Amino acid sequence: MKRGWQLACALFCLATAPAGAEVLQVRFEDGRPAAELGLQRLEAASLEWYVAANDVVRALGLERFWKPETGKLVLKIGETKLQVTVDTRLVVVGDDDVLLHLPVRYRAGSVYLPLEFLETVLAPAAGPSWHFDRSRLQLTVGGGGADVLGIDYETVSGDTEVRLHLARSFQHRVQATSKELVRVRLFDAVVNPLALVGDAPAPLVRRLRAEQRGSEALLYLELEPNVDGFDASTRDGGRTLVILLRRGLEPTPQPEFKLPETAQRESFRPEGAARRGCSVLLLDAGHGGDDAGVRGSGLVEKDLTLELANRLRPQLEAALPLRVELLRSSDRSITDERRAELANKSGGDILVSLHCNGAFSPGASGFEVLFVGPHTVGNRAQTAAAGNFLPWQNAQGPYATRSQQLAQVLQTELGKRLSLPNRGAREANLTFLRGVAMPAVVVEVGFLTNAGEAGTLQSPEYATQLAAGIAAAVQRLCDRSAAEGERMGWVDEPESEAAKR
Amino acid sequence: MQGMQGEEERERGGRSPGQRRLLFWSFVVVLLGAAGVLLFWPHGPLQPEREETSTSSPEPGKAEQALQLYFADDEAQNLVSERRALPERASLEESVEAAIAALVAGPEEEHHNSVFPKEARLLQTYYTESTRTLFLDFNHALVDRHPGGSTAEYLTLGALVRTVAANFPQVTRLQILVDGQAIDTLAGHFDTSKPIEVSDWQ
Repeated sequence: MKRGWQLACALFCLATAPAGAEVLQVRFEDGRPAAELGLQRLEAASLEWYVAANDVVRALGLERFWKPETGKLVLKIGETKLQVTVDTRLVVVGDDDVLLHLPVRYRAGSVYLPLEFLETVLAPAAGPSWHFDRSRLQLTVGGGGADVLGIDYETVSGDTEVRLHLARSFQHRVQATSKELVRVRLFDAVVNPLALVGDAPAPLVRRLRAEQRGSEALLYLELEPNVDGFDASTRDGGRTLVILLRRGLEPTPQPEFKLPETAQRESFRPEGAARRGCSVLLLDAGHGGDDAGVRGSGLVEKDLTLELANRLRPQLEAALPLRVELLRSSDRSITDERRAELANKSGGDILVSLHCNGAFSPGASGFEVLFVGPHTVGNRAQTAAAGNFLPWQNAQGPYATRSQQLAQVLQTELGKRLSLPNRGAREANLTFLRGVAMPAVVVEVGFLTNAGEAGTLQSPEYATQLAAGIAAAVQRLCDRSAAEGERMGWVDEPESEAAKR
Repeated sequence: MQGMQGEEERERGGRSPGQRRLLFWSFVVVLLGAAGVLLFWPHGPLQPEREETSTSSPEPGKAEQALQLYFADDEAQNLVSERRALPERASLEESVEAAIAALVAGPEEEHHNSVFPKEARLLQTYYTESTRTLFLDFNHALVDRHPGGSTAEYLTLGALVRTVAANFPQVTRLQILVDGQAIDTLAGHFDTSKPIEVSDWQ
């Protein structure tokens, strides 16, 4: 009976499949010549077509990362990463999972993707400007419906005027997320990520990236280090968005700074005198949303860490010449990967994550500082570097030594100020910190499972002492970094830099 | 003389030789009976007091295996070990289950502390020889009743991995499951979605 149904389904699919269709047409609306991708049937029990991943990458100009040991392939479209694994049906799309009907296959040295991957994963990830037509086996790319029509520039007395041409006037926001990255948000707009991406699209702009995130079109301008600032304005009734990049002093040449070979990467390069030190401190309130953390003495960790972060922020901004940003400012769930992504994209230079501790023994007491040290990521980073593939969870690798220094300085400075026992600085393989591309530590401020200690953690005096300790430690690390001519963090994603090489 | 002696003895003891013999043999029988009771009484004072060192006492005559279990110290700073004698099991899986049950039951020595919620139970155990991976499938109490905090989480995982490593050296990887499913994390700090390399936690 079951076999009968299978046969009937197969016959139906055969009848409805386009006759003689063995290629997928890729049509580009921006004028590029069309491409044809060969299709194959790999599954005996199915009539679904498969297409070679390499053909898709070449035709569409996607970034691709392949790790043969695990059979994982990551395709990057704009800022969205699509991860497939050979012989599995699961596709990881950013923070979401999509289950295909058929698995990804590996044949004769090539990864093959079921056609439904293009239809249900790739085209939707690219945004509404892409359209997949299964009946005609055709993928239409870009052009149609895109609201960002193009980009050009003009050089004016050394400064650069970057002009984004829009289909109409859009509500927008132009923001510097770090000194080398300007983010343009266009609300209720559509962008074709691939049509606009490019290296050096204008003087003072190293690279342009674009991303469709829901109803927002996002454009990222990666700037040269000698950009001193920018102004944004509109012309033509809002249909041209102008970003004037001001050229600053040329950076003083510095001797080449060599990272250990295990962690060397292009984006981690010496910066000029103007770029030394650090400018943004990220403060993370641990846990949140469904993840409550420790519960003890009538308190909940996620609430206490948020309260502490809000108390510490103004005190740290008053004590340090830095901007302090919170990774979480409300009670919401954030996965470790998303938290690390937020940290990396925020352009922060140092990250301090606040947590409360817990133990089975009620007498456990004190504060401690945790870090992902060189011992934890060293071997893995080396393996990854050898394969030109740096997995997300090893992003901390190049910063592990700095994180260790920060942890040690921090436990010393906190030890001078806090009344609780000092449990020291410890190396721990924490999932969240492994994905963070900057010096980063977790501060366990005390034990909620210790009734006597829980009261202390709530007091404003304790927050003041914590702020003073963190400020002193961050200042010491920034001073040391400036003296050594090294920048703290970077904003590029590790994979894209690894892929360039 | 004999008659006089007999008279004197009758006057002293007042018992005939037959009565004395009966008394003597009665005494011997009572003595032997008492000795027997003392020798063969299960918890008699002649038995040396056995050390109660395990949660499930080995049955007499059955082979035992010595296991090393890990718990936390009072300050939750370090793992501390205890030795237990448990009945020898037929398979690796059964031995692991006995060790984990003892681990969950908690420490017996002073200043040693639990590292598992008391309600946690091991539902099933699998071992795959090809990858030398041990799968431990717990009930949901492992997560729901865990106090949380990076220290408690570290000590739970550390004690589990070190107990397995100390007693079952053939295991090189350990996958924690809850109700048959892999979990991302026990309490939000350490990754348990993939098998834990035992060597990373040594």
